[in-house]
Amino acid sequence: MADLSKLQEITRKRKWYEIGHYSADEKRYFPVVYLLLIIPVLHLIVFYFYVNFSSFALAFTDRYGDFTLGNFEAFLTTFFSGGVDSQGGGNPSLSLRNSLIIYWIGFIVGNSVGLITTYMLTMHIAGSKFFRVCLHVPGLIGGVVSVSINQGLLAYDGPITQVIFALFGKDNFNFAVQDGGLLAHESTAFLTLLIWNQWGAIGGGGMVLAGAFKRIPQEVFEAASLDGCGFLRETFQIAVPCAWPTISTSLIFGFCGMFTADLNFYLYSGGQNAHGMTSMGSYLYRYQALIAGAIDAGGNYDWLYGYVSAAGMIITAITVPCAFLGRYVLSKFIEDVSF
Amino acid sequence: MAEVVIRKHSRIRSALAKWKAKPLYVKAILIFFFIFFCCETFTSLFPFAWVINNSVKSPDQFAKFGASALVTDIHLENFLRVFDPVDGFVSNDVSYFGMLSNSIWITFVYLIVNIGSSSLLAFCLAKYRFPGHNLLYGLMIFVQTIPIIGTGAAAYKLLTALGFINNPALIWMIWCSGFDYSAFIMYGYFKGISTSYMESARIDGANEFQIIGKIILPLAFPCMLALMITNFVGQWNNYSVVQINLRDFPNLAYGLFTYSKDILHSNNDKGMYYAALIITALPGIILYSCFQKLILANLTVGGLKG
Repeated sequence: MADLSKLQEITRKRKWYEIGHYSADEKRYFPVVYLLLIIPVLHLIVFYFYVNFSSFALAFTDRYGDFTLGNFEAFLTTFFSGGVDSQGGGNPSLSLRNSLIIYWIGFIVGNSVGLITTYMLTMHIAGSKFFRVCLHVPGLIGGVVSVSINQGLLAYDGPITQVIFALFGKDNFNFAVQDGGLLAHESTAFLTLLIWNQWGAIGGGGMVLAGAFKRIPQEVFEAASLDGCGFLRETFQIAVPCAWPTISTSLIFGFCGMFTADLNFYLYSGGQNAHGMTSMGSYLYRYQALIAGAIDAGGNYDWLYGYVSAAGMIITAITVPCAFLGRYVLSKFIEDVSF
Repeated sequence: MAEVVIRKHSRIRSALAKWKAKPLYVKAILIFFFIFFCCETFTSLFPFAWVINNSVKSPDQFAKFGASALVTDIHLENFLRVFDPVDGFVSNDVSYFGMLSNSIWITFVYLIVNIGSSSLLAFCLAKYRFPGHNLLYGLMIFVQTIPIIGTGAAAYKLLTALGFINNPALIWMIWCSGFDYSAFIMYGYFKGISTSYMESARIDGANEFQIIGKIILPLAFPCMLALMITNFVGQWNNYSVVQINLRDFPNLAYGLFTYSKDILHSNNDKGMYYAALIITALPGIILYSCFQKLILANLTVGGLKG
């Protein structure tokens, strides 16, 4: 009995702070393990913990190095006024609104429709290899190239703009749109990019998700088919639950981007976040670029460090509980299905 | 030859038989999705076709017919002009070759140090028990799932103080982040490699470094390669690392970004600009087309149920 309890004690899963029992063999490898871990752990300490701590401190520091709450006040005042800030000409409330719209449209369309289309593309459609390569092309050509091409397509003389003008009548659009294209005015720029990106994202799907579907053993489907399982049951009661760990992990990671979701607005607007093409991600990035650009040109933008850090802290304070809540909902209300 | 034709015919016959056996509603769903993917493919490829069409136009064609018209006179010299160090694609006083070489070293150094660091962390967590194991695993999840936003300014201040800005000899250190998404994928992969390989090697007298170099690395290489290819596209197109940290070493992405601000308003260099876009995009497309099977077979996160 005593031996059994000793065995249970040894094999018990330990909390992170418990040292636990290690065999002589395991202890022999400690130096090797710690040697291998030096680089990632040092990086974490310097570029994660120190930077976060430093950012926290900067948020409470004015340009002379004294304690202040002014950075928070400046951000919150602009945010609640709904206007443009005096520091860099960005609009934080519009940025946050856009980020949330992008995230939730992406969450609903990207994760539900995208899940089904990825499954169909991976498992059922004839010519799936051809489709897969073609549909991933926009993702493969990447941010700057893709944005440059889209800018041309959506410019005044671009084919998409011309088709839309022909369909809906050019005169029904604002003067700036008539003159400059769909990305030239706040009334059309954000909506155009939202629709254009979502349409592309549905078919593109995630490579990780496609890989998860691909690796479900074919025997599972064959066995289900022999048992009389139909197409829809196969999709929703076999394929999706089998790949659920992959899906839920992606969703959990996705929560991190809820308040900073972006559609390459910084690139589309030529670094200005103009015409409503702004998100919290591009809003904060623009400040970083402003600081780096000014310092590179010999100027001094020290006073912006605190403002950016305070803005980031406030957004983090909203994001973290939401991320926890999202994880909780995923783990509690949507259970993994086992066979 | 005849055997190949017969096999092909029998495959088509069995596919047709399978199709006939499907219920009507399944056929309707499949046809709907087939049409949907055809439309998606058209809209995915159309921009590329459009940019190819524009890349061979002369400035006159842009001026007369605009960017939507089909090309009437093909000017392939636009592609050659991209590489001209004087009259070609020059951005921030750096030629296309200069930007290309910056893109190559930035991308490859990033991939090697980033995937290497992630793999080291993932390997230790997947294959060893040691004090601090659970703490590091918890941190790996924490760092990925708990977002801390707006630290860019603090990071820039630190990098300036450390002398990392515009310093290729040091800048790679900021890419050694092991605690990222790649570590999750590598962790799952290492977990799937049987420990009996390591134990057998130990019995044969191999030390841990030999085990890593001669057994684990070759086994994990397909997954590392798949990760490198998927991360390649992101890093190849990463303008922010240059805009913030390496302004004196503009890569293609940053060059295209700064160039694009002016080009949309002038017809003179539009053809060459679109040619530069195509040349820049090609490596990612070629890599994915060649390795898509490897990527699908090796990238997973969170495992599978069953």
